[in-house]
Amino acid sequence: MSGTASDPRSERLLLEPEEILARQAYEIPRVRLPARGSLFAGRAARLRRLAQGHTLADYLGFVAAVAEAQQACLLALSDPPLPPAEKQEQNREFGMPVLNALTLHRDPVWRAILRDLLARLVQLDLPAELKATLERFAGQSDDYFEAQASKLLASNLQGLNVAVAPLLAAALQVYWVAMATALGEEAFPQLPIPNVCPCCGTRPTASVARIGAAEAGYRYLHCALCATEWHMVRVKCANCESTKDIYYQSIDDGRPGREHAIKAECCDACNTYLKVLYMERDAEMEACADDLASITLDVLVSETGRPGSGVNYMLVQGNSGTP
Amino acid sequence: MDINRRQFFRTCTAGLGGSSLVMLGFSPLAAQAETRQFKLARTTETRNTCPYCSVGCGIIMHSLGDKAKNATSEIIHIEGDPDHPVNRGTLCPKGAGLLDFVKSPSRVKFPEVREAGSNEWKRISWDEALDRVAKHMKADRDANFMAKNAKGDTVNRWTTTGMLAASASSNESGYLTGKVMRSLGMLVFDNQARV
Repeated sequence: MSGTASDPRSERLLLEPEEILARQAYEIPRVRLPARGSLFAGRAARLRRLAQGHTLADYLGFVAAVAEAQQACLLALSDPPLPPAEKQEQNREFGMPVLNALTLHRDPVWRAILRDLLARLVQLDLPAELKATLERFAGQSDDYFEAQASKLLASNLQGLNVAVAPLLAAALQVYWVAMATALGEEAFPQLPIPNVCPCCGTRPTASVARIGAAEAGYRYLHCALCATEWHMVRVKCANCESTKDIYYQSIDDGRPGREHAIKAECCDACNTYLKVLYMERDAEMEACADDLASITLDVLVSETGRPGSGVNYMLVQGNSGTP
Repeated sequence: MDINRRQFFRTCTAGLGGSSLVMLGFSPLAAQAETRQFKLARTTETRNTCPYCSVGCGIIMHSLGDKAKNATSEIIHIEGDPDHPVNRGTLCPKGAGLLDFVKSPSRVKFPEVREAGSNEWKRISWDEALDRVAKHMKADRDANFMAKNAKGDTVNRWTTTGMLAASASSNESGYLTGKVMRSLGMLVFDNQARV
């Protein structure tokens, strides 16, 4: 059985010869939970590096500040209450996500996380207008937060405050990561539906072809909410599971196509795409950060009439465009 | 509900106008302008089986170009298939050099013949090649086919010609190879895909 995400195995690049022999019949690690101590800090650091010279440098810098605040909130948090054991078992038995984002009865602790997060952010050196938006949001009622969270998790844009949705999502991410890591990988069996997160049932942000001793080359889908990663074979549509007519679009930067670190995996069967991040070509990549920073690829691919199937809560699109 | 969800996923330059980015006071203008400088490159990844040996490792071949249009496609990279149960992404040194094998200038792409006494290879058509092979086989079989052995037992064997079939064959082509060759009485043949 695979270890936890903090398992030193995933940090190493090479296996010892005896280990290779011992693991002749090894299983692909199906589920990888995020490392609670470093997920958001790593995301923030990556965003800060990507922001340098980027056309969206200011926004990436702000999302990095949000990720730093998320890490601080997560470290300050003790394990949040979990759904009752019988409810968890019931979800497992019926092939439902154990911490189902749509049906889980959220503990009020997530609102405390949100208030903590906003309090940390308004202390930063931010533009006055942005600070005012954050302060207005922080002053909202518990009922408002609950209603907004339900809309966001259901991907329901009707009445969702799109401007502050990333901050709402940031608090929910901290809450779900804390619950998921408290339960451990063994708590999340594979779902009969492979295109949503086995932990919370949310869609992926992007997919990552990983490196490292245990996961080399395997492709994982990265959950938009709880950052859990689950295995999905390569050259297969992550949305409809078609393996026919899959092809890849990447930004032509003059280098040979095999060196492109981020590609949009396009499927003609369901007419969607999801990005693949090849860590072999850039070992520093982080799904949420690199998905956000590669928005040019999203724009170019979606202009060909193909919407993405991934969700990135750090950039929520409003309904200003034509439906 | 479904309409809302579709909007949620859409990212486009117009859509950035209504996104959290703009509504929090950040400008998408530089990013929108930059988009105009780029175009997309298309690649495909195709699963296949390594042709070298009977292990039958899974490979992924990366190629450039659009099969649907008249553009020439070109294989640019070959790697082990991480999801293949036989090799789990690994390749032996020969398999790892497959790209050079595909692009080798001395790779045989059509039938050639070097006539007796000549030192030059001459290109011939497939029909011609198959006719020549068939004629050689028939001449040899007519001369050497053994219906009975020294004791008078019926053996119906032909041992002076042999055949080696390829490793990347499917089960079905392995079966057909066996049927065709055995029906001629051939004993000396092997199929790399036998394991």
